[in-house]
Amino acid sequence: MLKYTIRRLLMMIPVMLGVIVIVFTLLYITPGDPVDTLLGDDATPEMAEELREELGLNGTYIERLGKYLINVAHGNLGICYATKQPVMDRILQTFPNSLKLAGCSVLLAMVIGLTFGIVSAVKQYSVFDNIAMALAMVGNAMPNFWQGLLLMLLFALRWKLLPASGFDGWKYMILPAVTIGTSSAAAIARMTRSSMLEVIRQDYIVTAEAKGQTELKIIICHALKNALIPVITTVGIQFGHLLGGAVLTESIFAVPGVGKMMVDAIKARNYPVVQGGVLMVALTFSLVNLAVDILYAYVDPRIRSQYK
Amino acid sequence: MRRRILSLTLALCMGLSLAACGGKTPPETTAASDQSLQETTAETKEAAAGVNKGPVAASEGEQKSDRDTLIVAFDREPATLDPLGNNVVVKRMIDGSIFDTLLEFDENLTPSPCLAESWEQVDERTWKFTLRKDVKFHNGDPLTSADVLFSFKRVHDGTQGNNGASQFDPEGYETPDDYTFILKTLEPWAFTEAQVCSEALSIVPEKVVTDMGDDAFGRAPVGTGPYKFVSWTAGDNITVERNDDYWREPSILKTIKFRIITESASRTIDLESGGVDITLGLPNTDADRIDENPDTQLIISTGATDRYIAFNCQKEVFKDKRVRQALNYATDKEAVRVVCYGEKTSDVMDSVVPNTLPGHISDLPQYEYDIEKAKALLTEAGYGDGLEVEFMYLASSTNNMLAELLQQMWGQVGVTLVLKPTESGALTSSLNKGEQELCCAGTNFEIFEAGAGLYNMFHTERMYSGSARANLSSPEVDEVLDEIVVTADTDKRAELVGEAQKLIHEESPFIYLAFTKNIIGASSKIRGFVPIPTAMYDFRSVYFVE
Repeated sequence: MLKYTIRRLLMMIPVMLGVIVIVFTLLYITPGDPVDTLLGDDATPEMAEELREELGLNGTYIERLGKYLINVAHGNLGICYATKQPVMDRILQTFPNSLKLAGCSVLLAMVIGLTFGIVSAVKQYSVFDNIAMALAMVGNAMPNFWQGLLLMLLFALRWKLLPASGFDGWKYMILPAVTIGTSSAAAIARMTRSSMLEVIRQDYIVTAEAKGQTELKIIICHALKNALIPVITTVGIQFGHLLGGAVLTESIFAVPGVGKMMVDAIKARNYPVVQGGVLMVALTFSLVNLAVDILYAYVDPRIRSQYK
Repeated sequence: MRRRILSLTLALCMGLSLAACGGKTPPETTAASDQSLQETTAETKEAAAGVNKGPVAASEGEQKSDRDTLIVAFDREPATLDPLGNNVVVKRMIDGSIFDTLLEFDENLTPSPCLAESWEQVDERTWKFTLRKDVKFHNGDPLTSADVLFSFKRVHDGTQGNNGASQFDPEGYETPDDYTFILKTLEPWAFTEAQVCSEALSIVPEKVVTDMGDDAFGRAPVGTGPYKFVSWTAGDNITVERNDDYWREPSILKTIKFRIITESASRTIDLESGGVDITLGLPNTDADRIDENPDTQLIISTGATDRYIAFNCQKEVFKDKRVRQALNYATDKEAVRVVCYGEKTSDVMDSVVPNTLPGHISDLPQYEYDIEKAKALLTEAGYGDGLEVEFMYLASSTNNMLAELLQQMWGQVGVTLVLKPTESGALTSSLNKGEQELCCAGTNFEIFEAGAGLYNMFHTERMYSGSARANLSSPEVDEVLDEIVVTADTDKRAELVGEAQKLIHEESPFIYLAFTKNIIGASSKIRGFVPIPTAMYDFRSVYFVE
């Protein structure tokens, strides 16, 4: 198991390298110059040139990429063009907020998704199943920004139950967490349902029933445990997506997270912050994937035996 | 199968009912958010001049509330609070509460005393300022002329892109004693007093800046203003609190929290739901809603901001004045203004100088909407068979509407408009290189001197810079502008500004669209907010009522 984990960790190095090169290249070929947004309208061409030199924007593609790779290898993600803070500091300021939000959303999505998925499977074609799956479809289909504004209008404006935006305590987390958690909950519910449906038709479930075990025990101990593998995969991917992909939701609810930081940075052509942010998200995504794979082993003895 | 159909129908109904709950608001607010966010990230700057519609004095019987924290929402985070940083509205506004300048604009846009209790022009290039003796920085150090000298000198050294003192002689500053500061301009310069009011020349404490370094100072500034800096949570808020030792009347409220909410739809909802007390940069599409809501009030102040289509006069097709004039005739400007900038929230633009500034002339012969004239001019210029031009603009809902209107209007005179919506980062770079044929832009007359604004927009020397989107190069215009900047006499200067407007109008480098106003939304419980012309709002007199 340890060997497997180490191998997987080592495999992340080329992945990260690929991410760096792709993001760097994309930013390099994107039109726009950070100096134009950093300097005001009054700036003279000399000022612009001086700043370009200072930021190291005058080198060739290879020179700049090489320099960046060396810096990253030394743990230096560069300096934010705008605030002149180290990029790592900016990530450390924003990443915990995104992590909190993503954590809350996934938790919410799991509770709702698993419950709906299990009940739907057990009571297949019942009214509950139909309603739950219809809701799942709506949940998946609703665009985040639209849903966010809708929730804000209802809960903040009309009923004045929750704050509309900001990030100042648990109350502020509810609306954004629900907004980004909805589609994940829908995905988890659908996955749980189909996975459970497959499992509850297996012979060992019939055997368990024949042994006279209660329905609840059969569902939790026999069916769910075997149905969990695809669900864990879905949860893992959703978590990764929520971390880096909650960009719109973070902007709407003014959550100072890593997604919002990256969007602002892209607009200002603040290259080091974009690169640092993407790298961080990619790293987390890879780590979550690894965690999911390790979790399989704990859930499924068949997989565990392969590691030995 | 029947069950499947049932669940599908159910899903559809739910979707529809959810949409209905939101009423008409979501699509509108989404569009507006995009617009405001985008527009403020462009080169356009907002300010206000002269109050059209203001609240905000307490009426009889109103009980003052003991709430002492004001929450102000704005749309973007400044990179730094150092007065020398990139000149964005947000920074100017927050810095206005932390710092003071030697002189400041009064409500008539005339420079008046601030940290300098008096000043005089010694000769045509020399100005002498006498400082107040009772001013202390937030750290307790007294203000002396050494700090003023330091604050002016660092503008010349800075690589932060603020060129606000380029007309001042870096070697000409003197401090004969602790409370006297002498400034010399390189040439006779008419806008010295106005320039001294600019936020870039806010007075900073020499010792603190030297000890901290520019970057750290920009994150935790110390000034002499009515509020002391408290904290900056990146991406979320900047908080300041009352300076009880302020040399003028201290603020009524204890704390101001400037919240960064980039989405304008969210800002508006936050205002309506009571999460914020004042929202700056309200989209004009939300103005009516805020006005009609009993919990909120709408504050509109006329601005010193132009909105226009700029022809790039260096591109072959637009070197011909007749083409520029033809497209002016082909544009129904009033329709564009009402649709894009709002009837209430903008004024008819009839000259390049905003109607709020001294020197504005309103009797220029306008290019009225006249398709036949447009066609005739195009034929004369050799484009009778049609013409294709590319319109580069910031992708935002307002600009998209504008682009579609133009496309339709110009189509009637045989001009095909190729739309090139561009994102802000790429747009500024393209415009600074003069790659566009046509663009839409806005200019804010920041120091409220029409002559200074015109110089930046139309002097050959300023081609391809931030304000000069038409890249006009006309010796006649240059000559008048050169004269304006050295004319100290206000009346004579206003006369020259008039002359410049006529010449520029004749060249028609622009299609005038609107003078836009500054729209502010506030809670109905706010009193004492004065929408001053500079947009560097003074929150000292603001308070809440029950």
